[in-house]
Amino acid sequence: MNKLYFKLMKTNIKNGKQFYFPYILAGMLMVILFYSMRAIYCNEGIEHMVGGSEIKIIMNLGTYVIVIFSFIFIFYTNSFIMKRRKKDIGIYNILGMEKRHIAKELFVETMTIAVIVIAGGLITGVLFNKFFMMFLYKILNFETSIKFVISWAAIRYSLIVFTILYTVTVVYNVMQVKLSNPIELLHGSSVGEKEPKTKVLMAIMGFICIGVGYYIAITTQNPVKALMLFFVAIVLVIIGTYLLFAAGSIAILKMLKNNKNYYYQKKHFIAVSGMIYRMKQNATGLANICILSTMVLVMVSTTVSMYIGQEDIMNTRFDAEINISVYSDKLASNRETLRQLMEKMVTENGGNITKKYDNIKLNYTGYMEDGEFKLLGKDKQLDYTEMAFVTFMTKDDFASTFGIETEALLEDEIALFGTPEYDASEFKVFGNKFKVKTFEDFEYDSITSGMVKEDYYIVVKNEDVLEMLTETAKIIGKNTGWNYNFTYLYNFYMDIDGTSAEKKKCEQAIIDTKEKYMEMLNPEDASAGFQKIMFEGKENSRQSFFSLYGGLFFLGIFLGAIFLIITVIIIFYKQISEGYEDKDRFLIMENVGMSKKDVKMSIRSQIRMVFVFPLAIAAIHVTAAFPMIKRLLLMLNMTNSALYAKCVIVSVLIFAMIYVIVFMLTSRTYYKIAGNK
Amino acid sequence: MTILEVKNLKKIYVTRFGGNQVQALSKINFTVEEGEYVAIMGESGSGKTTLLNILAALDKPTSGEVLLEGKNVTEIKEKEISAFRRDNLGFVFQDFNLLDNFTLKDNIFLPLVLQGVTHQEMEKKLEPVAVKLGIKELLPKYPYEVSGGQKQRAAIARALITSPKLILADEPTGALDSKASDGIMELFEEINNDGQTILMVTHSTKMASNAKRVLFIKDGEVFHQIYRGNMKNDEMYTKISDTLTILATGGGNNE
Repeated sequence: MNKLYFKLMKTNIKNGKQFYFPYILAGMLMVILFYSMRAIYCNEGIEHMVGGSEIKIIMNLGTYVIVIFSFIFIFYTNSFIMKRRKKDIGIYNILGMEKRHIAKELFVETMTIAVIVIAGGLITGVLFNKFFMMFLYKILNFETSIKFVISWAAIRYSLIVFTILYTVTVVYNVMQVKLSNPIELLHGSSVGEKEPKTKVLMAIMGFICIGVGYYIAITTQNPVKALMLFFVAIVLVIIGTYLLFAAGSIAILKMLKNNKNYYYQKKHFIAVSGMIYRMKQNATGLANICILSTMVLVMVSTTVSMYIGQEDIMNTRFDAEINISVYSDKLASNRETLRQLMEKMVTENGGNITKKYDNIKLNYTGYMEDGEFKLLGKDKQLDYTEMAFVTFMTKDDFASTFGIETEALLEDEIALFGTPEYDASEFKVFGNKFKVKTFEDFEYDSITSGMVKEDYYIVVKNEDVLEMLTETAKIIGKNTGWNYNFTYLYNFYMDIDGTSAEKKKCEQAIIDTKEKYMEMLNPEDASAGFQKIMFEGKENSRQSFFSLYGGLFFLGIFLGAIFLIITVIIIFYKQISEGYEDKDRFLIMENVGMSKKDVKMSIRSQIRMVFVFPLAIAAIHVTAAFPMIKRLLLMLNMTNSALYAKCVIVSVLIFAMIYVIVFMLTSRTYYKIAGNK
Repeated sequence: MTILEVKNLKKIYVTRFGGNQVQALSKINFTVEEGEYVAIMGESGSGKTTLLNILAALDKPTSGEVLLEGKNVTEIKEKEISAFRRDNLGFVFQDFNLLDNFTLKDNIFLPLVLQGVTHQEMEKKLEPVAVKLGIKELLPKYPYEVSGGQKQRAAIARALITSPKLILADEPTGALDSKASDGIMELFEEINNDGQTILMVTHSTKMASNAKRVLFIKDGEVFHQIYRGNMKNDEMYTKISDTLTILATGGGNNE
C-alpha cells in the first residue's frame, strides 16, 4: 500500500514538474539563505572581530525576516499547487480512495518534498557558506582567512524552522481534503467567473490612502517625527496599494470599457476585457509584487548608498581625525595650558598634527516661550520635536570653528545662527536679556539638525558672557526639580597625518593613556573642576562603521535577493496559471477568425500591462518615499542625497532589467500554454 | 452560382508514434450553390469533422482543392488565412464557443472588432440580427446567465453579423435539449430562406431533414446524397433514415 503512495506521488510530480520544480527550488533557496545567515550569526570567529557584535545583531534580524517571508511564500506556492491538484484528488475520491487515503498520499508527497528541500538546501548551503562569508568579509574589510566550517547550530535551527513550516503546510493540505466534497474537488480549478463590480468607494479609499501616505512622506520635515510617521505612511501606502489594485484598477478598466469608441477596437477590446478578469483574480498577487518590489528597491538603494557613502558619513560624524572633549565645572582661565596638554597627548603618542582648532561650548536643551529660552524640568517635559537646542559660543570660537566672522558685539548683544528664523529683537535666557543683532539661517550638518523645533547657535562677545550664563543657569536649574549639572565643554579638534594603520595605532595609544593625562590636568587641586575627558578617533571608529553599514549592505543585498526570488516565482506561477485559463479563450478567438499573430500580440500586451503596472507603481512609491528616506538617512549622518538618488535610480534600472528578463522568459512559457502550441 | 467547390479532397493523417497512416478522407467531391442549405451526415469517424476543418481552413488537405467563389482555400497563405476566414466564413459550434468574459453583445461584436469596423457601424449591424434571433433583451447578459439555446442563438448571431458567404455549422444542436434544438432548427431554415448559404455537419436526422440537401459520407467518400426537391420535412426524414440504415448495414440488402 505504501508503495502505491510513492508511485502516485512520483507520477504526480513527474506530470506536474513545471509546478513542482520552482516550488522545490524556491524552498531550497530559502533554506540556503536561512542557513547561511544563521551560520554567520553562529560563527564564533565573527564575535572576536571589531564590529562583530553589530554584524551579529544584523544577521539575527535578517533570519527573522527570512522566516516570516519563507512562511508567506511557501504557503502561497503550496496553495497554488493544491489548487491544481484538486481535480486529481476529486478523481481519486470518485475512483474509491477514501479521504484518509488521499490525506495520506498528500502527506507522503508534502513530506517527501520537505525532505528534498531541507536536505538539498542544507547541503548546498553548507557548500556555499564559505562563498557567502568571503563576500561578507570583503564588504566589511575583514582580513582573515576563512575556513570551511559546518555550523551545526545553524543546521539545527534550519531543521527546526523548516520542519515546522512544512508540518503546517501538510496540516493545511490535509485539512483541505477533509473539508471538501468530491464534486467540489473535481471542479476546484474552474469556478465560474462573474464580472467584478465596480467598487467606487474602495477605489476612492485606495487613492486617499496612497495620497495621504505620499503627503506625509513628502511634507514631513522633521526626521524624528518622520521616523514615526514613516511607519504610518508605509501602512497607508500598503493598504492603499491593495485597494488600488483590487478596486481602482477595475474602476479604470470599466471606464475604458464604457468608452465605446475606444473599447471596440481590436487592440483594446480583448485586452481591456481580459484585464478586468485578470485584475479580479490577481489583484492581491500583483499588489504583493508591487509591495515586494518597493521593499527591494528601498532596501537595496538605502543600504547601498550608506555603504558607498560611508566616508561622507564619517566626515559628517567626525569633525576631525581626533576629537577630544573635556567637561569642566569651571571656565578655565588656563585654556592655553589645557590646549597644550591635549596636543602633547597626541604628539607623545606618535601623532603629527597637521590641523587644529578648539572651542568652548555651552549646550542647553529646553524650549522656547515668548522669546525666552527655558529649561525642561519636572513640570515641563516635552516631545523631542517640541524642544529647542541652544549652543553658546564666543565670537572668536565661532569664527575659528565654522569660518564665519560675525560683527562686533557688545556684552548684551548676540548673533543668532540656526533654524527656524528668529524675528524677535530680544532673546531672553535664564533672566538675562540679549539684543539680537543679526540672524542668519544656518544649517549645520549634524545629527540634531532639523530634528528639534529650534536649533540655534548663539554667538556672544566673550568668555565672560559664557561664565555669566553658566552662573545664572545653575540658579535657574535648581528650580526645575531636575538635577542639572552644567559644565563647560572644551572641544579640541586635531587632524594628524599618516596611513590608516598609523593613525589607528596613535589613536589607540591615546585612548590607553587618557587617564594619565587626566591626572596631569588635575594633580591636587579639585577646584580646577575637571570632570571627564572623552576621546573619539575617526580611524578607530571606522571599523565599527564598516561593520554596521557593511552588515546592513550585506543584509540589504541578501533580503533584496530573497524578495526578488519571491517576486520571480510569483510571476512565474501567475503566468502558468493564467496560461491554462486563457488557453480555451484564445482557441475560441482563433476559431472566430483571430490570427495567430493577433493572439500573440494580444497576449503580449495583456501580460505587459499586468507586469508593468506593479513595477511602475513601485517606482512611483520609491520616488514618493525619497524625501522621507533622505531625511531618515540624515539622521544616520548620511547627508549625500545625490548619492542616494543615484543609488535609487541604479537599483530601479537593475531591478527593471531583471524584471523584464523574468517577464520575457515566463511569457514564453505562457505563450506555449495559451497559444496552443 | 457555385459558392463552394470541393474537388478530389484527400487527407491522410500520420499517427504520432510510428508511421501508421490513417486515411480520413479518400476522395471527396461536391459543390454547394449560393443559397443552399446542405447537411453532411455520417457515422463517427467517417471524416465529417476533418472535412469541416479543411473547409474552415483550419487544416490542410493532403491533396485536392477547396474553391470558395473560385478561390482556392488550401493555397491561402498562413498570414492571410485568419482574415480570409473572418471575412468569408461564419462558424457555429456544438459547444457555442462563447467567451465567458464578454457579454453576449461583445461576443457578437468580436469578429467585427477583429475586422476593424467602427462602433456605430457595429450597432447598426447588430440591430436586425438581434431582432431576428430574438436575443435583443439578452444582449447585456453574460453567457453563464443564459440557457444553452440562447447561447447558441448568440453564437449564430456572431456568425451572421459579418454577412459571410458561407456558414459552417458543426453539430449546432449537439449540446441542446429537443425544444431548444427545434428553435435552432427553425432559425436555420429562416436564415437560409433569407438567402444565407449554410453547410452543416450533424448527427441528428431531424436537423438534417430540415436541409435542402443531405450528403452522406462513409469511409472518407461521399456515399450518397438526397435532394429535398418538393419533399416535406417528414418525407425527407424518412428518406434520411432509410439511407442511414443502408449506410449502417453496408447497403447490401436494399439496393
